[in-house]
Amino acid sequence: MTFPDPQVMAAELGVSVGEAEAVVDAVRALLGAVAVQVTIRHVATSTGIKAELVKKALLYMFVRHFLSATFQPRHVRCGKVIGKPELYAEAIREKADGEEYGTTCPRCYQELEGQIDVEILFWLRPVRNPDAA
Amino acid sequence: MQPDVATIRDLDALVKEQLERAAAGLGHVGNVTDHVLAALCHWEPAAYAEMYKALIASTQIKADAITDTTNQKGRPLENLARYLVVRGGFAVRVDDITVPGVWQVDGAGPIAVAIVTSYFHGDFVRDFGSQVYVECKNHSGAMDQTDFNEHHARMTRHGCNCGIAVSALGFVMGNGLGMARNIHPDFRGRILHLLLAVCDLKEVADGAAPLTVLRASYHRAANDAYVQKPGWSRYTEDACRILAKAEYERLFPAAGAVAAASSS
Repeated sequence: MTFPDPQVMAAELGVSVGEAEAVVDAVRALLGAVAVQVTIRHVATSTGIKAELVKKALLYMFVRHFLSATFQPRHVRCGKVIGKPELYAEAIREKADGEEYGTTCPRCYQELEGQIDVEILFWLRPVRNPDAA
Repeated sequence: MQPDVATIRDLDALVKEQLERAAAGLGHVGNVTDHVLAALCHWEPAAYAEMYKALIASTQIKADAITDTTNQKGRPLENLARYLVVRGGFAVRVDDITVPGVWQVDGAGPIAVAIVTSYFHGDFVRDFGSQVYVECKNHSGAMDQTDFNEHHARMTRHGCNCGIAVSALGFVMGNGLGMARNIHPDFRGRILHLLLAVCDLKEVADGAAPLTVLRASYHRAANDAYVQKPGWSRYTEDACRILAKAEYERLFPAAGAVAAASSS
């Protein structure tokens, strides 16, 4: 398991080295935990860094392959999860096009058309079965 | 937007922010942005590393009359190049082109217009078209002027003004002679040649984003870099052969030791 160099991460993202170090340390601390999911809320709470900045740092770690990801559909308007997690973001787009999530949100009963967000769930290690994760 | 939920739209925002930082002189278009695009195109460093290893092994095969060069040498490079071009975000796909009676299988396909126009330059499609031609040579030597002329002819035959020539053991060029003489004038005539050799493929294996490497090749063509020694010296047959051998010894330590013992 490798982690990004906080100095490089800080320079590439335009954040301070201290902030980058804090996020990397918080993610590294999860290594011993049973759950391997890395949530923005957990890292923000444990570091005291704003969630927006933590989000950016985790996205960076994902695109640089330090974190793995699965994807799940959310209704833009109410923000609630409306379906199962998937290995690929495209699977959600395809299901949405095929109306597999229905036409109305099961949580708020408003229209779903064009209102499905693809949420990224971060993981410390690659996930093979998103249902079991 | 919930602050503690990351979405694909946040990834888009990260790309835009990186572009703005680059435009303001605060960073480089390339580092994060190219990696974001590769991630969105399902780039898997481990998959690339496997293909790179297969390619390095294939460069050490000494072809003879019974060697199936297409499968043992051609395919590993083609697989790697295709993966780099498509999963790296440059092209949407690369379809096989099989010419009856000709053993080489090359490829062409539509470029990823939105990405390429954003990251190369806005007039890319107007200047070089929206189709890329990819040709791979994993020969026992460098790609020479004759190979290059054929490559150029095939590119135009398939309606492509943008071609990627991938030659494992480099290119015959130097001091503005050979292929180096054609590339910049062609660029000004709206024909783009992107050259990749084992040194570029290694950079990607070492962690550079594919678009970063392709853009570097674009800049070499645009700036006539192949006429200057720093631009072409890494592409000579000797330099590529030494690098391929070193990589072989690094990736296959046991085989490398046997080869070293037998040569001494």
